[in-house]
Amino acid sequence: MERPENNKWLDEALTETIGSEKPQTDFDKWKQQHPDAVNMLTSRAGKEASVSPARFKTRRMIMTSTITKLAAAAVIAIAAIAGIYQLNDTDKIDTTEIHNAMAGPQTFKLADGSEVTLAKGAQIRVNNAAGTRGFEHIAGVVDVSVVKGLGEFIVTTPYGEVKALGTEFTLDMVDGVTADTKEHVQLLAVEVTEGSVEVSNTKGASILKEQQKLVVEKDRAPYNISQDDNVPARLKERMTALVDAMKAGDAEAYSANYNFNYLYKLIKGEVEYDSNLFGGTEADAERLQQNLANIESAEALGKAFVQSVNIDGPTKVYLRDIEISEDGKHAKARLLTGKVAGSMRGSSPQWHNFDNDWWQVDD
Amino acid sequence: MVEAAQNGHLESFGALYERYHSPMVALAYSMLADRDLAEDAAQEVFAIACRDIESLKSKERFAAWLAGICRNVSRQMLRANRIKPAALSDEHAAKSGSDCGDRRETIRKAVWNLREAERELIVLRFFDGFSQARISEVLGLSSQAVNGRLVRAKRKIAKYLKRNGFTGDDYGTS
Repeated sequence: MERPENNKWLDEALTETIGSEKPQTDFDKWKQQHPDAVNMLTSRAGKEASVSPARFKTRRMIMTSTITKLAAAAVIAIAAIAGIYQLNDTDKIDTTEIHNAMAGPQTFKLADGSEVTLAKGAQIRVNNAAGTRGFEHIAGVVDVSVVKGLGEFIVTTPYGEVKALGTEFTLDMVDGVTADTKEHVQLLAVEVTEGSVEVSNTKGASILKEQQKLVVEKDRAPYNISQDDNVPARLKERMTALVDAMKAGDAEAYSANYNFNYLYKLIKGEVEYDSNLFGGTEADAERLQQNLANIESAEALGKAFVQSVNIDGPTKVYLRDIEISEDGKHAKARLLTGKVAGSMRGSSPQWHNFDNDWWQVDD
Repeated sequence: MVEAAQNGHLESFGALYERYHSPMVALAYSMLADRDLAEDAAQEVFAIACRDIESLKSKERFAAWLAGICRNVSRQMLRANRIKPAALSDEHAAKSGSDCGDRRETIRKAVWNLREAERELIVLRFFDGFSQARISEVLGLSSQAVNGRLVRAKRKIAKYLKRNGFTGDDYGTS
């Protein structure tokens, strides 16, 4: 065969097929679209650049950056309306009520004495109909403490209904595009602090007990990992540990989900690349081998990994669903992560069952 | 320039953006096979780099660091959108029909059947005509490695095309 470097026709064919107009490079436009990133950079002016610990070059967490503004805009505050007694403002940002709509940040009591705290950007519309308790959740993060013994308390949302009988719970409504994956996400996250609630929509219902949480997405049944019988108990522990670590920004706890003995052997060439056990591509594995060729032990690798993990708590982390492979040995979750103020990112961590345990193999 | 950007100098970061934006679009394109998605990915890559540049230890590895971010962002986009690269999709195949369309389709498949590391090189080389030296800088590889891999990748493409009945005769330039 003729040497391909001498095949002029091949170069022409590749240029014709792959060649493209030069991308528009417009830094001014980029700056306008990423004010938060620009602010973060310019805030360092005058400071010396810090030296960070050694990092994995190819396995970088990307979930702590970016901002997509999801929360609704706050509006101007007016005092109490019928049945609502404002307790305090937690910020100087203006809030208001329009046709019984309330915007955060503020805490107030409903007519039945139940207490509602709206975070910045949260909005609800209060239900004033006689003989009913509850409100319509419009946007953002809402903490609710329901007075017991007065009958059903119902929160309506576009994605489902939350019914409570004397309980404390938190709601977070997300409607926006993730900054990294450009996915339009519409969901309600519910977390129960005390008592229980029932979350339902036309696709299904789920009873949520104390300390449990679930996610209900538009046009999908509520998803609660603790009630998902397809997920093995040990895998549930692993996933819960991952979510807790990310929420707390705990790099050590996060790293404990990885099998460093296996990764060390992979780097040293003692085991072959296996896409089930190493979430990246073969090229990623090669890069890892090159960058960490001199690593001395699995323990040293673990320490380097802890230093490389870039999770910046506290953050909110919502487990949207889990997919288990047919042979039951591989699992992939969908997570939504972000700061309380509204920045959201999508990720799909994966686990595999090997070396007698479930190990996270991809972030 | 990297050090100045790490110290919060926005104009320096802007110069880095100007220099590496196009290669990042090409690199993302090598994974996503979709020009619009690739441009979105590149925008996000610089947003992440802008926030995290302080953490970069080896200034001379800036381009390779950026490329790592680009691979991660592109991979996340593929997963989140649950898509396979457009070049391999049935929808894309259905769009072709003419001989010219078939030929392009076969070439695209040949490229996207390559291993990721080889595909990156081919796309960077032919997307915007980057020199081997520039590719070497962006990917953090030696120029010998770039040259060797390019030759191997092109050989695989030629083999694939031959198996599928396309030769230089189709271009009249063999």
